[in-house]
Amino acid sequence: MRETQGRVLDVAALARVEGEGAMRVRIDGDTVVGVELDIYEPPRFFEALLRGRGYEEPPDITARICGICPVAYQMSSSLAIEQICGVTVDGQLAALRRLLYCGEWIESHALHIYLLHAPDFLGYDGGIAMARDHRDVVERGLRLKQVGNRLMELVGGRAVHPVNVRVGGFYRLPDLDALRAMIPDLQWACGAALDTVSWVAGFDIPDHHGEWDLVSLAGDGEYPIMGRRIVTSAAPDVVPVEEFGAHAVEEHVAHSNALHASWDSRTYLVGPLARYSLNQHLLPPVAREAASAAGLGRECRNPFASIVVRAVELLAACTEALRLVREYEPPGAPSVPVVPRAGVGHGASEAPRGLLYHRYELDERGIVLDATIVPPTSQNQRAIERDLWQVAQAGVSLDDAALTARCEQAIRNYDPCISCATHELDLRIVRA
Amino acid sequence: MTPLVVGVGNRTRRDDGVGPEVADLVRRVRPDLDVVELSGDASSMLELWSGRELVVVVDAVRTGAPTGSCHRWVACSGAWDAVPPPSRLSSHLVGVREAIDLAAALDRLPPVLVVVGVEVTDLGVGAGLSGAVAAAVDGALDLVLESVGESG
Repeated sequence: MRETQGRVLDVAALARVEGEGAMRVRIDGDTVVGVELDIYEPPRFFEALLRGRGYEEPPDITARICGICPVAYQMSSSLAIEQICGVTVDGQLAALRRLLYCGEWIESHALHIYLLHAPDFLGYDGGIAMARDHRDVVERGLRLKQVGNRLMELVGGRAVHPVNVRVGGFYRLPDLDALRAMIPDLQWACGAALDTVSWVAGFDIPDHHGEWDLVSLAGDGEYPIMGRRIVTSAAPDVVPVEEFGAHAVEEHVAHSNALHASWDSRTYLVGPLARYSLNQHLLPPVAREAASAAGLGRECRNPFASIVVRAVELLAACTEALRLVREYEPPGAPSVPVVPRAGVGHGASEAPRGLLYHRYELDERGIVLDATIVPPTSQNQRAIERDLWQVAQAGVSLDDAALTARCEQAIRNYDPCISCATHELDLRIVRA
Repeated sequence: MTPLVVGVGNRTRRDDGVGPEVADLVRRVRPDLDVVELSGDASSMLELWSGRELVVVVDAVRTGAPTGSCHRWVACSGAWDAVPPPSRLSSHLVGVREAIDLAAALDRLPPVLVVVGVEVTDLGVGAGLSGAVAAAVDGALDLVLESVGESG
């Protein structure tokens, strides 16, 4: 449709991004003069809902925020509350948590790589059209995803919104025989994930250099999934998770309901590119070698190459899951006792999309007085916006359809997750 | 194999929770059926319905009909009885319709697939269905029960 001052292209769909929101690119002649992105709804409803609830409830309540990464919410909330209560979950219980989290990474990364992102590189409208021409490949992606689902069922109780996680560990331990019966599937998954890296490394990946700082958890001898220390590309200092709020500041911007975050007043990125670039040396050797063979350096700042990094992480998660299942020995109890006490606690874990931070304040009875949740997509919103500006400017000579497709692809580079919202994204390019 | 009923939706997005709400009722009145709640990614349905003869999916829809209207679409051996359900039944990461089309492309549809849709209006953040949608839940339940008949 036409506006009086210029042309408006209303695409009204970004079908392969989860959630609700809007993006508007404004172009004056050959110059991009504005990019406004509003893709994230902060989880304020849940923060309010948590106040007044018992200390054991946040893992179940916050798992509802996202149908794709419930384990991340369960783990970050459990870690925060366990810190308040002076509880450490370690040994085989910590290994089981990591295994459950690997299931979520496998499921989420397989879905994004195969059904949501690969079609962009192969010239399809979506995964369905791609499936007609690349049936074996899509079947491989679905089977990988199913391996992740199965892990979540075995350890988490069910694949969607696992119910077996509690503060202090689990309600019951997984069936040992069923877990060991996963070994052949996990062996297959390791091979399939390696094939996935080779497959996506062959894509025609646009050149792009993201200009943001990178932030992730620091791995403690292993690639980071849960942890208490944060590393950044901007400074050599390691930041304790308790100090997250002193560095990450969220502020309102005029065009968006969402908050935009900065780290020490600078734009920053969380997620696979940050994790990889800051912890590449901690990948399992097979994943490190696959990354090298795929042409990834020690650092990756090209968001379009995130599909390769995600594939490397998929391989790492499958390899890790296989190791954890092989080494698993049932602990004496499914959880450690947790006695509530008053205090403030912080928890962070690496959701498939990046660092997810929770902070809780409890009173002496264990009632939640205050809750803060900072998800990865809200942290990335500013970086995505900056990136889109560059992508739109680089493609300003493209027609609207091609430029829109490129912008959509750029958004999907970040696998943004908008809390299982129910509306599509309204993407507009406005030429004055 | 026992028929499967899948309630799709997010209980914290108001009317989007109608699928899980209907699934709760099905579970109560027909404990012999397999009932699953699904939010987020609908491509998981391909695994859920593997080996099933009959699958009923309940989801929130917006076709332009009055809020609370109930719809039923039936696909036998991949062929819809009338016009197929709208392409944007929901916008879960991979939506219901997208999952169905994906299954069709991979020859993985169940022999009989029924989609029961409830016309919704309020998809804001929060729990609880709006009045017209809450009032439609029994009608949607009837459609599910008719679809599964005495089987199971």
